[in-house]
Order: sequence, then C-alpha cells, then structure tokens
Amino acid sequence: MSMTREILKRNFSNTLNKSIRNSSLLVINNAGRINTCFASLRHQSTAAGSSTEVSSTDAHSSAAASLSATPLYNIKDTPTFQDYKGYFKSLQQAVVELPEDLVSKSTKLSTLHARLHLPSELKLSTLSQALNCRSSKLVGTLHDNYNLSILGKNVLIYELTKYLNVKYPRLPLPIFNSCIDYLMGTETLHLLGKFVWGIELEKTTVMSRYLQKEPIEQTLGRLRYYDNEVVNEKGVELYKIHKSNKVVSEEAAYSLAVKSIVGGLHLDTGFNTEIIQQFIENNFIRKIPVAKIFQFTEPIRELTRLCERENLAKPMSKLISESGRLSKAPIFIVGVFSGAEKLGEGFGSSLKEAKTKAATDALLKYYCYEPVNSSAQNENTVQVIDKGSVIV
Amino acid sequence: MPVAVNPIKLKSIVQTGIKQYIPACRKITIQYCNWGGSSEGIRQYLKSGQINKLLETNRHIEFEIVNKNGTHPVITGHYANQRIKPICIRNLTGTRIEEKLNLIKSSSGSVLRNVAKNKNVQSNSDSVRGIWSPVHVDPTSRYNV
Repeated sequence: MSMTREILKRNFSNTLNKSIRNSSLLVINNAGRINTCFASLRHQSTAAGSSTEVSSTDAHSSAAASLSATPLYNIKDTPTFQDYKGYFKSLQQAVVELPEDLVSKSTKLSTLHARLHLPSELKLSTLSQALNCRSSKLVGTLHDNYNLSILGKNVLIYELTKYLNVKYPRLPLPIFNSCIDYLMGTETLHLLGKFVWGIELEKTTVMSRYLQKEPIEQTLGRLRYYDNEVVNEKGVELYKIHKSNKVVSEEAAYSLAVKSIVGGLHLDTGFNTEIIQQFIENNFIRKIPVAKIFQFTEPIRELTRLCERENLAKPMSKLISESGRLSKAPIFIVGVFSGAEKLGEGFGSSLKEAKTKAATDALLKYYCYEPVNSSAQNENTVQVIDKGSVIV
Repeated sequence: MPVAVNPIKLKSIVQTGIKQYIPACRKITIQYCNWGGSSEGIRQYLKSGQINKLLETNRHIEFEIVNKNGTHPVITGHYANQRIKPICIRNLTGTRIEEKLNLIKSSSGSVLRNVAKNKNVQSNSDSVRGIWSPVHVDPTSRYNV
C-alpha cells in the first residue's frame, strides 16, 4: 500500500519535473509542497510589488498552469528562490562549520548536554556533530558522525567486555555475545537514545523550515538522519532514491548517535578512561537476566562432561520428594548430586523432565557464577579465569 | 558438536542506568495571551522575573515561551517517552503557577494509573526469601497424596 503510494507520487513528480524543466523547481516530491512553494512565491511578489509577473490565480491553478508546459517565469530569478537558497546554504554551513556563537544559542544542544550530565570538556559542537548521520544528505562525509560512531562503538565494546568478564567469568562465548548485544545492540541503543536521553528527530524538510522561518540553530540539537529534501509522511516508506543515498532506519540512526556521543566524549576528554568508564557505568550497564539466555540441547550429557573436566564425581540424579505419582498431576523433585554435594535441583511432572531440569539448573549455577568480591573493591581485577566451554 | 548452548535473544527494555537518573521532562512550553484576563497571572509571573530562577536550576529542560492570543494560558511538558502533559493555568497566579510547573517538571510523563493498595511493590528481581514449597518441608510432617 505504502509502496504504491510512493510510486504514484514519484510518477507524479517525474511528470511534473519534465513539464516544468524550464522553471527548474528544486526537487518536487508531492503536490502539497509545490502548493506551499507557489503560494509563498505569490504572496511575496504581491506584497513586495516586484516586477516579476505572477498570475493572480490561486496556487492550484498556477501549479496546473506550469503543468501545461507554459513556463510563466524563471523561478531562479525570483527573490524568494534566492532567499531560500541562502537559507539552505547557511543551514549547510552551520552544520558543517558549527560556529561557537550559533552552537551556544541552540537550547536543544545545551539541554541535552545538561540532561546527560556530560562534562564541560565535551564541546557542544562535537555533540551536534554526533547527531549528524551520513544518510542525511546535508553535509559531506567529513562532517558526519561516522568516525565518531566507530570510535564510540569500540570504546563501548571494550568497556562492556571488561565489565562482563569480571562479573560473569564463566559465560560461554555465544551467551557472552548475546549479553553484549543486550547491553549495546541497535535496539537497546535506540530505546536509550529516544526514550531515556530524549534525543529529538529532525523530520521536517528544509523547505518547510524555511517557510516557518525557523532559526537555524534549532536544527543543531536534533538528530539528522533523514534526507531532508524528501517529505516524510506517515504511511509512506522511503526505500531508495539515489544509489549514493543509503536509507537508514530510525533505530540505526539513534544507535549511531548514541555511539557517536560516547566517541565524542572519549575524544574531547583527551581519552580520559575514568570519565568514559563513569559515563558507561551510569548509562549502559544494567541488570542482565543471564539465566534466561541459555538454551541447552543436551544438559545431562554436558553436565557429565563438565564434572569430568572439573575432576568431580560423576553426577547422579536422586529423587528428593514426590507427590501424586498415580494422579493426574504428579510432581517430582529431583536433585543432581556429585558425591555428597548437591549441584542442582529441578521439578517436573515426570521423572525425566525433573532430571533434565535439575541438570540445567546445575549448569546454570556453574556458568552464571558471579565472584563475590567482583564489585566490592577490586573492580578491575579478574578473580576467576574461565577454562572455556565444555565439549559435548 | 562443540558447545550445546544456544543463546535466546532477549528483548531490550527502556531502562535508565543503575547509577544515574536522567530526568524525563525535556521541554516545557509556556503559552499565554497578551490581552485575556485569564492570562493575567502568568503575565505577572513572566514579568516579575521569577522564571529566571527556574531556568537557572533546570538546565536540562528546554523552555519555550509562546504568545498565542485569544486562548487560555497553557503549560505543556514534553517528555522523553514521547508523551506530552498539557495543563491549563487560567486565572492562576504566582505560587499556584509554580506548583503546576513543578508538577510538570517532576512528572515522568507516563499515563496516570490507579495503583491497587496491595500491589505497591513492583520489581523485576526475584524475591530474596524465595517461594515456600510444600514438597520441601520435613518428610515426617509432609502431606502426601
């Protein structure tokens, strides 16, 4: 549905572009934008009483007139067009150069800075650059957040890996990766950037901003990822217009921005590890439901192999208690023992189920082990070194 | 087969960090009328400069003052959870306006809910004491089916 709408629109805009090539209106995407554009032109010229001849009909008929391939005037010569061009250029310049006087005027940037409790070393201009995605075609590749996001991603991976290694030293690699993904995956960073940090999106076109006479510094505090020549409408999905223009989803844009802020902080504070560690601890480290990530295919066999490796006695499953064996809903409690030591316990409505659950419980207790002193004083000293996964 | 462990993907949840609270309110819009009698209080409030103190102490909130004639004055909070909370402040003065501003400032922006009396504690963590189990009691006093 949305695709057909988009195609219809593009066809319409193509025909428009062909018919009014002489007047060369920028990029026309839908009827609404042309109307606003023409309406403003008419308004301006009548108000100023300029020499450009514009038909006195309303916006709709003027658009229709240009459709019938009779150019009324050269749009490039109109003062409004020059004015718009100037606005666009100064906008571009502001985003690229990020002059201090303009950046310090941006309330969105300074409030974001204060909300995240960022240190004063992190400049507002770096923060604004971190909100500049490559997919918004406003700036060249030199002034977007691509490099910052790579730095931020690596800093995040390094710090979070260190944290996880100290906290859960025995996690198997796939589970470990899943935990890292839980802490800094695209989905998580999107939720963090949007719903916790409250970063705003820049979704309006430059044209509509120009028509509303929006001050240029307003855009500096918003996340720019959308191609702002194209109107963003609800229900219409943009897929790909140019080869060079890679369409990035909102989630990816937020994740890039969050990573870039971390990268920018690391860069501006002169690679101060203490500040970055504090920031990551405050914002990224959260409680992970580790036990919910595990899914064992052969828990009993794995437990046997693990006990062999750790030089423990062979695990034996013993029935601890039962209730209603002959009834419709029996319950068995089975414990798995290595010698006299109980490794785990499970319940189930059959002996087999209870036995499997007991083995799973024992494995979880081994893998999700947290050293007691890890968070107390020696945060960065590793107390347990993992022997690696068990080969089943 | 090397490792018999498959990871299950966890669903991410909105959660602030453990150590740092980030205020939910990101923007407050104050809308007033130049002529209306119901805006008298907010006009006095804005003129008196009391708002400067608020701006000083709340650097994390973006303040926007909008003049819209012919309407009652409204203050609106914009929150990080993408919701807004508008409060009409017609005929209110000084301290009452400040009360409303504080309410907007300290609100989380989430939908107001009636919390049942015995469900005050909500937590994702397991209980420390655990759940009582009938099959783990002493076998001599255990009830058997």
